[in-house]
Amino acid sequence: MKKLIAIVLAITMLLSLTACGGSGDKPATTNETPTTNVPVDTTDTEVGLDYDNPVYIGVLDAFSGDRASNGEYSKQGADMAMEYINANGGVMGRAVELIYEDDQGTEAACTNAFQKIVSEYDLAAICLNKYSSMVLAMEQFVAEEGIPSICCGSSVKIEASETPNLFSSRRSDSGSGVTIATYCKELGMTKVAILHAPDALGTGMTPVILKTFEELGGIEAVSVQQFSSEEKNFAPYIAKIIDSGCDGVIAIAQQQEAGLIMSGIKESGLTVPCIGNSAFAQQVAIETSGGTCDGWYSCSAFSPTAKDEPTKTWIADFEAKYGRKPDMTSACMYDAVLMFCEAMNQTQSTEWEDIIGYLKTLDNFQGVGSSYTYSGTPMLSNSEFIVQIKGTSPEVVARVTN
Amino acid sequence: MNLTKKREFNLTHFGYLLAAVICVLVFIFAPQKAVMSRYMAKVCNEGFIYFVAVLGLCVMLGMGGQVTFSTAGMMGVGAYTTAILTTRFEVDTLPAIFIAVVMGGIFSFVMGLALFRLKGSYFSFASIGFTTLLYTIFSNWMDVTGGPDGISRIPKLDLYFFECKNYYDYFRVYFIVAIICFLIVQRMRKTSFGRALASVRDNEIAARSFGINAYMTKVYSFTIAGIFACLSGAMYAVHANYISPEPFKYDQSAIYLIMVMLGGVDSTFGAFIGSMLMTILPEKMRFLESYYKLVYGVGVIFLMVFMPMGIMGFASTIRNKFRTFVKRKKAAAAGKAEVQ
Amino acid sequence: MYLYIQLALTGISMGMLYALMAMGLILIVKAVGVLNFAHGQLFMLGSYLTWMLTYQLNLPLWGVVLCGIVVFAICGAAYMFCVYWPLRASSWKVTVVISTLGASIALEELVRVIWGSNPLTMKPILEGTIRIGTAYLSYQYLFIFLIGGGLMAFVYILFEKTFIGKIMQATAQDRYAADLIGIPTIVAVVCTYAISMCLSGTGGWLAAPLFLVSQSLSSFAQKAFAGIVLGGFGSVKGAIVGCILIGLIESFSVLVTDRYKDAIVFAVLIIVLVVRPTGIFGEKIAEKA
Repeated sequence: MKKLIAIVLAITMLLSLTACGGSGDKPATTNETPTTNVPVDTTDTEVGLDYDNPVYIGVLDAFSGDRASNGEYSKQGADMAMEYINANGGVMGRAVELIYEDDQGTEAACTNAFQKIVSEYDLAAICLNKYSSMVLAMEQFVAEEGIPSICCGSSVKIEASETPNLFSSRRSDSGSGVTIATYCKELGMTKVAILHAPDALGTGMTPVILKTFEELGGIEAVSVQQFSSEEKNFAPYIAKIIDSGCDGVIAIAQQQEAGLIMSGIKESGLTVPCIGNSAFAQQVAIETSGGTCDGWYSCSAFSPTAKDEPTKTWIADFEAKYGRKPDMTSACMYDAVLMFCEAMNQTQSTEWEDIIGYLKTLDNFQGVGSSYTYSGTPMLSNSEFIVQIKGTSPEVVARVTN
Repeated sequence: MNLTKKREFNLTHFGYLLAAVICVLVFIFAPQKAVMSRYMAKVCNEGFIYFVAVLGLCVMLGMGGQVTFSTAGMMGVGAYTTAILTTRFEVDTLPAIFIAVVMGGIFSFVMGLALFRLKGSYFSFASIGFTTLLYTIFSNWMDVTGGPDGISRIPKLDLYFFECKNYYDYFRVYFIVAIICFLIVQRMRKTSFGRALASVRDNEIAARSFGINAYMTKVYSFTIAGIFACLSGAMYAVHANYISPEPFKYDQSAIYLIMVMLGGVDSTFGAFIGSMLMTILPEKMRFLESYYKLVYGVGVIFLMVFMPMGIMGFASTIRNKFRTFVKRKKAAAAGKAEVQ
Repeated sequence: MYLYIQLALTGISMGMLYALMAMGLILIVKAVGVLNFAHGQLFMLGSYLTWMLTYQLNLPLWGVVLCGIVVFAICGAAYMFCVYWPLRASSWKVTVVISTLGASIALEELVRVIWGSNPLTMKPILEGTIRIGTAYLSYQYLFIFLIGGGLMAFVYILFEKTFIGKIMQATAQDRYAADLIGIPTIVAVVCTYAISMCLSGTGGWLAAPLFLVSQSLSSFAQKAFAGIVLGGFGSVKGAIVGCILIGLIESFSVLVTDRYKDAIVFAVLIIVLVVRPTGIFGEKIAEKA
């Protein structure tokens, strides 16, 4: 009997705790954040910038968990953009302040993180991460909030999204699929083996490639394989690729697997030309391939060895600041922040509608990763590189613009 | 003698009354913008959703002593059934959830018949295989489950007389669902089924010699756990409005196990505390960033070492100690008085 | 034809890796009676530790091997004292299971905090490949066969044929009785964990050049579990055969389907278990009341 009382007491305590937690949160977040909660960066002594009343831009990425290495790259990219903007007059005389929130790289956590950051800060805009399924999980919240959002996801499903305030700083996977398929034809492949990841990237891009093959004619896929998630041992798949008698290989994977695929193919003694998606030209893939990446082609949104301005200077700055080459996500985040600031400066407003309105008129905005044009879909980027890895550095072979 | 009995009786009623009053108060006052932010409401709702799933584990693990990793997989079955019915076949949410739960019950009954041919660790392991199998199907059967892209635009919960428009509405509905499920499990402990399950947990051979069909008892418990998990999955689907295979992976099941162990495996209310704590704490401890999971992992070990029966078990141990302490004092005082 | 040779070769070598892990797992199950859910993480820890010895402390190969064994043994003992020892008296085995689950999370994050989340590369013991037609096998796989096989034989003999093995077995069967007849049970349990960690750690070291040093190496544990169950719980021989079978099934399943590879592995497992609940080599042990 006393047990029951204890239970009831515990209910009270717990519920009052949650309720208090909730009620305690709210005033603190709505009234005080702009002035007290956020440490004001006083070390930057840029004259004339209003640091007391900054413009907040949210950045949501994985800073813990399996995908944390990606989050680190995007944080560095976004930080660079913030410094650049604040050193060049800020936004309407106000400083830009980035608010980071950890989405832990999982879908359940990212929707919570999104809710948290949006309800706690008076954000002008928000940058989302590059994992399509997470962006899709947040899509509805993004639509409900109406906050201008730029993600770095490239899934075909994001391209088809009708949420008016969701944009992407990438080119869609279907676009990249066409680019890859066309380039295969240019390389003179006729029988292609495709090995792709089980995620949204792989399953979205593969049908596009197959369709493009049909349209081009004279080129066909002799083997299409999907590896299982968290795959480590690619030998069975590669054995089947060899068995198919192909004269070219297309591989679509994330960075972690890309290195293993490249070393696996090298080890198997297969010498046909190989082309991969953007992950194959990323630093992580090149490092983990242990030098076997030589000769691979990749269709990449960003090349860390690009020779064009302003990308070249930016890469040098990045290297000087962080001691390593930037990743594609760094460039995407950098450009996303830049686009938001441009929108606010051009419209002289931090209203969400104005920013969205401006982004919809975007025409050939030059960023470090790409140039950006709004053409009816959320995908803003309109250019891409074909790079070939020579030794360990990706060299630009061609630039594709649509 | 009579007196004390009467007093206890009153206290019980008082306790029920107090619990009911608190529930009503929470129901009326908690889901409001002034009390909790939308973000907190969403987190609490997730807590309720997990609580329903954890109740299934409460039956399986707490009452039946079977370690299962099938929770996440069964949640996936519930979530995907609801999502497919509502988006493809345009069934209303309420009947869709109902169908999902019934189907989930039948499915888990059949799977239970197969899996419980195994015992102990064998069974635990087979349940991992079962969840991995389901996960593979969720993420690869493109035409039905949408593959890794998942299913989006799942409609919001509509109870016909009450439509959930925001998280506060969900809070009200899920709060009531959680209470109902809580009462069901609480009642189940006192039925012959509950006692049969407990006897299987404590000593299967002894249970069999009493004429209990241990195999079927375990299968029923698996079915009940499956039904709770399916309901929870369906609630998840209509709450998040988007599902993908990721949350139904085998590692997630481990979290549910930890939830039930944290609250106290013997207590239904402990399951509630466990699931709420495990949902709210990660949000409150965001400042730890990448160290959070480290703290969490070490915390689990410490929990098992110092509070193997969870928070509720710990509370009752302390209460018992306090009681014996008081009794001893009283006895000592009485003894002294006698001497004097 | 070469395709089948290739699939068989990769299947068996993956099976050997799983078997190394499975053997350690079985030893622990035999000693303390519970599954160790952090075993994949111990495997991964092994690869990180050897990476540290090779590249951060710059030890030569023999140094890595010697230090590796010592470090693994210490880690195994430390793991035992953190995760199992405080719970040895617990009447309920589930607490130990949950505690190993906690340890698996903690270990994974610990490694991430120390070495970062980017995968690291490690050079194989000997570079190069053997070729039979289009089939190929890198030398590293030969080392997996040799070292793995040798270790397994060693541990098998240690447990089945020597006095120390008898002590450990006695402890595993009935610790109370072992205590009574004067066996230092704590030493026996520590030894079991140390040997188990050595086996998995070596597995991690052998796997690292092929599959990179990364946190996701721990996912191998699932296949090792599957192998154990397939072979029959508690039987060392069965576990090895079971693991190699799992490796082969996994490898040959690409002929039938690509995307449902994992599903096939587990479906076969569940079917086998339902048909023959004791696994392939499992003996029927009467339940104790």
